[in-house]
Amino acid sequence: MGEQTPNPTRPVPHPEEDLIPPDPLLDSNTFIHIDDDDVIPNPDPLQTHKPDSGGDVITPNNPTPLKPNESDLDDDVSITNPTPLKTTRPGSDSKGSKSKRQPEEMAERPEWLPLDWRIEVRMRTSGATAGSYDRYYISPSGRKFRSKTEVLHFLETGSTKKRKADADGMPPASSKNQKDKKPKRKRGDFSGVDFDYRNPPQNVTWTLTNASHDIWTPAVDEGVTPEHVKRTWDTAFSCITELEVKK
Amino acid sequence: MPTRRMSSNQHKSSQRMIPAVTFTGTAEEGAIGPSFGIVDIGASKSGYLFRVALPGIRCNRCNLKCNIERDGRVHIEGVVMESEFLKNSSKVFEMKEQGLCPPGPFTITFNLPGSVDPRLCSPSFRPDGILEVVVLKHRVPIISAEGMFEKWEESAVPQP
Repeated sequence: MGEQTPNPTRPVPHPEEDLIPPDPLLDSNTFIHIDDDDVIPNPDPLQTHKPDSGGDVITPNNPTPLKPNESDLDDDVSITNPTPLKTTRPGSDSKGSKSKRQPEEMAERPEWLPLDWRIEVRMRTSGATAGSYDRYYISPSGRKFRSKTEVLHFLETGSTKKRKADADGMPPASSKNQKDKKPKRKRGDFSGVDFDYRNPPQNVTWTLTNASHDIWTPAVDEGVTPEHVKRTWDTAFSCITELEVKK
Repeated sequence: MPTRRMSSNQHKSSQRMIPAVTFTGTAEEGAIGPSFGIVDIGASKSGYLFRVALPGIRCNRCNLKCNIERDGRVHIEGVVMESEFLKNSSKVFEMKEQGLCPPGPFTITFNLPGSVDPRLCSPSFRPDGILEVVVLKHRVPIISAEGMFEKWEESAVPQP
């Protein structure tokens, strides 16, 4: 996958209000893990005038960049259901400072995000962190990512990073079943696979280590192959077999 | 080929080219257990498939291993366990007919039609007792700078 250039036609936002420095907020995926960062205790009630759209999702689906002023924002963003306890205008002086980001702000398209990607800002509706917002980046194919790091990794390698756990505390579904864990690649995409095709070992012994789950463990020269190496083998295997599918 | 009693339809398939398959241990004695160790081999553009009938050894203690060599030689070994039923039953059965593979270690050895990459292997031992394994041929892909497959390198594979 090639590098995506940021939208050159993107207008420069009003610096005093809308220029979001990408680094402190986006340079890492900390906001995913540090819930306080996402807590927006006082969402702007001015933005709550679409209560009947029935969701808590802001989806600036439009690839054209968001206009910096709020009236234009309304076209692209619908926010419902934030707790309108107190009126604090986004951008107006609030001691919440940068770390308490408004959903409008989170819905802003960052420079590094390719134009055909969408942003979704979703409010947590339950749990101790209810009312705080999470931002997702959604690829053209509909794949959802939680951080800049994940997106850039995906753009670079075409594969997803293994995550320890979701923010919800759910383990990634793929870790359950070995057979499901292959990331979907495009056919012919061999990138990021560290596999020496030229020099296979003289022989590999595959042992059925768990008969009821049909789990086989490979070993080269009596040394059991580490799990990450086996995963690379699996990936190489599926890259090659994909080539032949539907031909 | 060891001498094996075969049912008529198996005999028909044996008219075709069947690669040499050798048995040792109880699989060899398994002349009386006709379905044990029967092998199918198929080929595709990218690899080979072999299917082996291994009824009754889908358990961890059967210690099933499948060794695959680069030149395409496949060596399967394991242990046929004694019937738990016969072992644990309070009644003693005097066997009147013995057609199944007797308990004990066995090996099955055969050759795939060409060289393979033994790492690129996807074994699957089905609950019905058929071992199905796909092994890919040993080939070297030419990959573009963008990581995209372009073609297979020709005659780069050293034939052992």
